[in-house]
Amino acid sequence: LSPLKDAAPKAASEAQLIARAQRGDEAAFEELFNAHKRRVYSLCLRMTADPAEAEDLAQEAFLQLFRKIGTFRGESAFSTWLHRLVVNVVLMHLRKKGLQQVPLDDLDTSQEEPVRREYGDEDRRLTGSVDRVSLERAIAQLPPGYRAVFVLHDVEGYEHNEIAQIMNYSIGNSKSQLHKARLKLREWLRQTSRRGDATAGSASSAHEGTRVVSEETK
Amino acid sequence: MMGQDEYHNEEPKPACRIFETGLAAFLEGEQRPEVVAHASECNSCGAVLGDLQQVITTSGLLGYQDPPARLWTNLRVALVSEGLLQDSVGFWQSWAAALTVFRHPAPVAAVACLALLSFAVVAPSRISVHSGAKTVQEIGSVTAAAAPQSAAVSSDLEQTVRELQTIYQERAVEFRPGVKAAYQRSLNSLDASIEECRDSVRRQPANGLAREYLLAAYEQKAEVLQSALESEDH
Repeated sequence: LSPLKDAAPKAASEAQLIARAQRGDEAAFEELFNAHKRRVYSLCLRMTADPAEAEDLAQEAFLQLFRKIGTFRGESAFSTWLHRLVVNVVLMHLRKKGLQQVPLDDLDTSQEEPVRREYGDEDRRLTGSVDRVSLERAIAQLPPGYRAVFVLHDVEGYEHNEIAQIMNYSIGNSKSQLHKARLKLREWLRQTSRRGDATAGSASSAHEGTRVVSEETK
Repeated sequence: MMGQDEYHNEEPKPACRIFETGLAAFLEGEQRPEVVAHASECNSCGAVLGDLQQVITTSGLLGYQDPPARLWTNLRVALVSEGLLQDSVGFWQSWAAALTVFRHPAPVAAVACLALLSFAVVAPSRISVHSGAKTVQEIGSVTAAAAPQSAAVSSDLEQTVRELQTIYQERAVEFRPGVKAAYQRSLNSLDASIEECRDSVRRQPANGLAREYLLAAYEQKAEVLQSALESEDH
């Protein structure tokens, strides 16, 4: 796994925290929770594009973490162990949901048509349009399968071999889906850029709720 | 999902097809000189390459968001109910402990911060479960009506808390012992805080801060009761 973007607690103090948490020390639980909650929640939120689901999944992931923390032996970095656990929780949820609500093609996008693009003068650059807010909105619009690969690779920094292992498909499939996801994002950003900010805002009202929730808690 | 827009396509040139074939690999870090060369000659393909590189760069810079403050509260209740945590220190005890110094002026600011923090921790924003008497939304409207001017506790809020308390007492017999104990400790702490604040208001009726704390304590008690009643896993 690529280096984490958040400053993780220093190894020594984290090891002490883990040891205390393994003995059922509540303060240690809470410190570990506080150290990792933002990344865990953000990962859940980006992969589900639903604040309520993300909250439930983050809680489930931490619950599993604290259930299993006694088995952590430090063979890998704690953050790697935790985030693999979170990804598994989210993917399990998406698969279950896929059986009930989401078309299977959204999880297995290998049969989808290629993303369309324009040729010639109409295909101009997105000058200044790829700001973080627009991109967050665009990610939320991706089908779940594309979104998972994109978030894991381009946002979280997982390698294709790790994604292929987690998602249980080939490295080539991971690369292919990532490329399609990027092209879809570009297409969405171009369309919203054409329509203007007002339309873009209403089209992504669900994700707007996400930001409100986040800002309320700051 | 991604919508479709009107396309004004020209026919792709063979070089554009070659560019597209190598684009994904180039973005994965492979050496593909034909991609770079074509992108510098073709405005359309150059735009695609530039945009995708910008998407990749911006994605790596996306930050993290704070989860709702109630996440730890809910997680803690779940941990206690599973026996993974011993509820040795009541969640509200620190809040109540802080209120015990309320008669002294210096720590008042700290108490205020703790009270606000505690309220933020338990305030649910997506609650829709009915308690059997009133919903949190109704409680919210009651507290909102009481808050603006005097910050006194309205009779509606007191009545709501009483109703919630009655329902809680009926249902609490079915709770698991650990969960029940965790909620009961919180409620005991809040009751003690309410009494403390009431006493201060009686002694100093013009003390606006005391009235605010009293209101906050009632609101917190309502939230804790509602949280206990709507929790599905007891």
